Amino acid sequence: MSSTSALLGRPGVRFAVRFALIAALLFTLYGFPYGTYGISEQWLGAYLSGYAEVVGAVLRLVEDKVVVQGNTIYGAAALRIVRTCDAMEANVLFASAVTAFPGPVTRKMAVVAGGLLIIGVLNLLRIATLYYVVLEHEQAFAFVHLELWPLLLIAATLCLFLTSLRFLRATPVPRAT
Amino acid sequence: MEFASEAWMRWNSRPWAAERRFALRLAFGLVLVLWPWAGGHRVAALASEVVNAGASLVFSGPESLQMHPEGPPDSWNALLTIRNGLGTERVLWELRRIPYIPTAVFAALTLAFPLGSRKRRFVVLAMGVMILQALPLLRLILLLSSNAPIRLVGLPSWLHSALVVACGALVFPPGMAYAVPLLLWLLSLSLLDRAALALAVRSALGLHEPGHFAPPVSRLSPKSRQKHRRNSPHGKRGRRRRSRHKR
Repeated sequence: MSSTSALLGRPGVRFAVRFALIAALLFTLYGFPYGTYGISEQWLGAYLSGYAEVVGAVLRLVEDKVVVQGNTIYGAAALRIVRTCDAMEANVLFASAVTAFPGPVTRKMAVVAGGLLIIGVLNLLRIATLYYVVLEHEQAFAFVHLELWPLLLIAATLCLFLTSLRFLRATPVPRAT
Repeated sequence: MEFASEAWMRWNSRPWAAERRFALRLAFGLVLVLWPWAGGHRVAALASEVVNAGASLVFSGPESLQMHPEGPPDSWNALLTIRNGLGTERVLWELRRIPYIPTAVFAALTLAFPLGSRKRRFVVLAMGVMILQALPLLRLILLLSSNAPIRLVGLPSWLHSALVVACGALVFPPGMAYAVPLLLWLLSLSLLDRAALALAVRSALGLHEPGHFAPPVSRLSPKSRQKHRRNSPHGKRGRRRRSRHKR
């Protein structure tokens, strides 16, 4: 018992356990096989449609023929936004790692919000580039979609986390009274 | 902009050579293992042999599971044929994304990182590869337990749900194919060489004395120690470098 508490007392182990628990919780919430016609699936459908709308709006900046119906984007090529297209793995890993790291809660919340925003923007860029990959180099789509972009997203998430740690570790400057 | 140029200059300075070497080795390793090489058919053939041998031990009678390579010679696909008394189900499995990529990324990380001794590197590599090769079993069990009426494994619903979540978090590509080997690599480093991991983390956070990213000399193998002595400022090459600098 005492050895367990001594192990958990180590900052590295405490961070790893917290990170694993938070990530497991978030992955369960996201990946749980909810009933097909339940509220959760409706919510997920609405969320994916919203995501498709945002991607469609970005694509409309360069191509005005883009139309979004549900979670599918129609234009010169068609793209369907499904569960894993939202970079949720990167979001979950980043949010779990920042939340598990010791630091002031408000600062962590700000870092999580900022980080998720950056990952979201990167993911929009990913989907937009995939649209053009389908158009120009269809045979490279599977490679870019399933191998190249996921690597870049995970690497970017790791860099983002390491960068945000400097901010989380920084001692707050006392305000002048 | 100033921060970026300062960081770039610091990165290019000599004390950061160990970090630079790691980054370059990793980048080279990743390009090498992730390049779309032909040869998937051989991987599919090997995986099929392993799966068929395992399945013949577990299933008997009308129930059977068979796997064989599918498609042209450069294809990474394998076809799983699941049979029970009620019928047959065929499922295509792309072996490049599961389990090749996670294993290859793990190997690239392990081989790029300066762990000091070859033995430790081999232990980390073997442990990680074993775990990453075992993870697709989760997907296989999920497949065999969910294709009603062609179902070979009966699981309680809670366990099935847990398996769905575990597969989503650990096995299914795209993102986790890279995140899982990275996390596993960090975990195995923390178990086998905490000093090296601590130095790597401190290096990434900019909290260390530059150049300390490499393991301490006492942890190096005799051959690496010799090389380190030659390269150190007081060694043969170091003295030569200093004399060249003076001139």
